[in-house]
Formats: sequence, C-alpha cells, structure tokens
Amino acid sequence: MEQVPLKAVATFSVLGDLLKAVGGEHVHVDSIVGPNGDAHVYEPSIRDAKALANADLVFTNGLGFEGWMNRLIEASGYKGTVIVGAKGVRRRYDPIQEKEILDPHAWHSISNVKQYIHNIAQALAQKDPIHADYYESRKKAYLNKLEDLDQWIRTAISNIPTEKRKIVTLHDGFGYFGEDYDVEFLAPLGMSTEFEPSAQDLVNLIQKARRYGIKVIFLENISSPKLMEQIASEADSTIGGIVYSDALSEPTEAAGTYLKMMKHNVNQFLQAMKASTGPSSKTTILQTSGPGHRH
Amino acid sequence: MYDFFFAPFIEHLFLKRAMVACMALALGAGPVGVFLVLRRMSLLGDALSHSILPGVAIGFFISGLSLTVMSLGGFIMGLVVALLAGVVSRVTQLREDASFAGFFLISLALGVTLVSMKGSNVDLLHILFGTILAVNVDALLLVAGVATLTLIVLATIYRPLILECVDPNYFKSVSGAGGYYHIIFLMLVVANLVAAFQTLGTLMALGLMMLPAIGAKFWAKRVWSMILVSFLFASSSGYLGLLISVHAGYPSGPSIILVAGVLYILSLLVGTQGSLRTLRAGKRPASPKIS
Repeated sequence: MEQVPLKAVATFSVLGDLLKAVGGEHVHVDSIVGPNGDAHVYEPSIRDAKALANADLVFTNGLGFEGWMNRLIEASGYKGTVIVGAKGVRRRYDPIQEKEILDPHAWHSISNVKQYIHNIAQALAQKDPIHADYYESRKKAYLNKLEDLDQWIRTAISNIPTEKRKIVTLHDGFGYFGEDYDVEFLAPLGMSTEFEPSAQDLVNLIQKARRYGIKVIFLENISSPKLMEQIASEADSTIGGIVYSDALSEPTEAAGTYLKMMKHNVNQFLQAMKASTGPSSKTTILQTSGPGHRH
Repeated sequence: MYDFFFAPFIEHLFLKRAMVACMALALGAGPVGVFLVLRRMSLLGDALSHSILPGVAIGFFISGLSLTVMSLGGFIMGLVVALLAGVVSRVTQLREDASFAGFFLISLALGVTLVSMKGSNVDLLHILFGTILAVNVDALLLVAGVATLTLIVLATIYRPLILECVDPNYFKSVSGAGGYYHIIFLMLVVANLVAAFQTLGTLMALGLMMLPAIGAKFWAKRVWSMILVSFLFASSSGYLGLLISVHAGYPSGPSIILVAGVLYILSLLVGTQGSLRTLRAGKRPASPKIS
C-alpha cells in the first residue's frame, strides 16, 4: 500500500520548518502564518480552519504567542492532540524583579530549540510508530546541526567586547538570544507588535542608542520600516538591514529555514556590534533592567 | 519647567515633526470639521474613513510602501464614494446619510475582498498607516500641502459655503452653483482624512478633525471664531497629547485624541455658548451667526 504522509499543521513558519526537519518525507507540513507573516496579529481564514480539520497533528508554539489559535482549533472541529512546541523550554527570568517573563519567542535560544525538536520527534513517533526510527535518526542529525550552530555563535560573539553587545530591533523578539549569548536588545515595541509605542519609549531608546554608540539598527521582516527610520535618523545610525524574529523569509531569500535564519541574524548582529563605537566616555551608563525588559 | 514642557521637543527631531504634523492637521482639519458640524454631517467622516481604507490598500498592492500612491488611492476611493453619494442624494429622494452608508459599505467590502485575495498575512493597518511618532519628510509635506490647499480653497468659497450650510434651498433658488461648492468641500474632507491617516496613523485620526470642532461650538458665536477655537483646541491637543506620551509613557495617538476629548467635555460643561453651565444660568443658547 502507498504510504500517505502524516498531515501536520504548524502555526507559523519557524515551527513549520522545525517540523519538516524532523518529519522529512513522512510528514506533510502546513504553516498557517507563512513566511514574512506576523503571528502576533494574524487573522485566520477559512482555508486555515480546513487545514486544521484535516490535520493528523497540530503544533503550536505556546507561551501566549498565538492568541487566536484556541478559538480557531475549536471552530475547525479538530479533535486530536495539540502539541505545544515550547513545552518544557527554559523560561526567561528577570533578575531585578525576581520573576519569570512570559516571552513566546523561545526559538531564539538554541538550547530551547533542542527541546522543541525533542517534543516534535516524540509526538511524531507516537502518532506514526512505524517510522519512529526514521524520526529518531533525523532528530539526532538536526540536534548535531544545532550544536554546531551554537558553537559557531558562541565563538563569534565572544570576540566582541561586552560593552558593544547592544542591538536595536523593532520589537522584543530576541530576549532569549540575548540571555544565551549575553547581548542586550533594545526595542521600541514590546514583545508583541500590536501595541503602539509611546513617545517616552522612543525618547528612551534614542538616548540609549546615542549613549551606547550604536551605529546600525535593524528592521524586521514583519513590519513597517517607518518607525526605525525615524530612530536611525535621530540616533545618528544607519538601517543595517532586515533581521528575522517571528517568521522565516520566503524559501529563496536569506532566511528560508531556521538554521539559515539564525546564521543570517547573527551575521547581521556581528556587523552592527563591530560598527558600534561603544559607550561614550563622558556619560555614565545607567543601570538597565536586563535585555528587553520594559517598564 | 523648561525641561518638562519644551526640552523634549527641542532635543528630539521625531517629536518636532510630530508636533508640526499636528499643527498642520489642526490648520486643515479644524475648519473642515467645523463645516461638517455646521452641515450636520459630523458622522460623515467616519463613513468616509472606511471608504478610504481599501483605496490605500490598493495603492499599497500596486506600488508597495509609496506614500504618494497610497494617499492617491485613498483620495480617489474616498472621492468616488463621496461624489456618488452626493449625486444620488441630490438627484433622488434618498437622504445624504443613507446614500453615504450604502456606498461606503460597498467600498469597504470591496476593499476587504481585494485584501484577502492578495492573501497578505501582515496586519494591513500597521503597514498602511503611519504613526505620529514616525512622521517622515514625505508625510510632513503631504499634511502641510493639504492644510495649505484647504485654507486657500475654504477662503475662496467661504461665503457661498456658509450660505449653503444654513439654507440650501434658498441658495439653490438664487444660484445654481450650490452643488459644486458641496463637491469641492467633500474633496477637502477626503484630502484631510487621507493626510490625517498617514500621520496620526489610526482611524482615530478622525478625532482630531471632529472633537475640536464640536468643542468649539460651545465657545464661539460666529463661524470664523469657531474655526479659530477649533484650531486652538486641535493644536493644543496635539501638544498636550505628545507631552503626556513623553512623560507618562502612554501611546501617542490615543493620548492626543483623549486630550481633544477632555477639551470637548470641558467645553460642554463650562463653555460660554449653550453649555450646561449657561443653560443652568437660564440663558438662551445662541446659534452661530453668519458673518
């Protein structure tokens, strides 16, 4: 009998790519929010509900990332299990307020992505035990790639002086990355893209960028460039290009897969950190409350 | 004192631009709002704003993030709806509000269909409209140009426009040109709405057009003074709203509109013309005189 691949639905492109990495030819993956799409504010369509209704397995990120997902699953009539990709990942921790931060962007920590891969492989093996060995071997291969990537990033960033490790992006998508590699991320928008910034947020950000000598700031693929252009012109820096936080690019572009996305982002960050002139000597650096924290 | 009220605006270019954009909007949208109130068309802006949205979206699909094409798309779409509704209400028995409702709903549905056929995942409102904190030179030129045009055109058609506001039937009997003035006025409304969306960034932009004009009604006896009060309200809402946003950390767009709302409520309570205070004192409310 002809083998029909499992039909799996992932909520967004990054998760979909991890799913493909483990599932290989035995899993057909649909991502609801596709490349360059913003999952924070996504409006699901009937097509999405249909894909869910026909799915064998549904994967979400969790951690409050896809607020619209529960209603969509209910409406679609999907009866199977919903696998939360980020289940069991390390949460972010705010050392000053001494509490955990609920930040959905857990895939920017490679150690967390290893957990995602474990979760995915386990779910696939349970649903499709015939190919359990296949999934297991693909899992191991991918974990090795992740390990190599992690080593490369650590080495590259360790060559940058700590005071230059400051990056400005549009929204707080890189908090986990910041914790893993000791880089501070500053952003005018919070963890979700749906809020409007206040003038105060912008003033604070511009002053920090000036104080820290940040010369290159980044756009994200999911949003309008206007706000960042304004910040760049005032902080006397340039727009460095696009970094990818919440969605992959189209397959033909720079960040078509998770591994490519991480490499692309890190290369962009490295350039920006090298261009930084560092904190100016006459101003004292104020205490900041850790990467990405907002008041 | 200086640090609190002025320093942020002098130090930061983005705040300067935001302030200038608010002033320009106040200059153009203020008088337009006053005429909307006088013509009892205060809700028209809301209807028109919905018909502009799909036009902006079409502009975006044609040329990406080009301010010119997006604004032009919005302007054309808003104008088509305004003209169709205007013509229908003047030719047939249908009242203007009803024909507007009909056409703006069609336009909105058309726009939403187009957007979903394109299948974009990106939240369009974020892309299509600016934010007051990200006003660039192009947006400033747009809003300043619209304000200039509005003032020149309004000065030219000021008297007939007022006559037509007060008594369209009398005006029709002495001059056949009433319809043209009305259409020119509708063009100004659409242009100002497009400019407001590109700078203030949300559908709330309408607030800066209507709230100061409605508030001004409680202070001014004449049309020109109503326009003046409306401008003062709108520009001070812009300044105070931005100030609140800088110091208290509230989002800028809503802060500006909320200040305009507070000014309106205050006017309603203690204004000199037909406010709650004057009514309690037993004075008769005076309607705006023609000057």
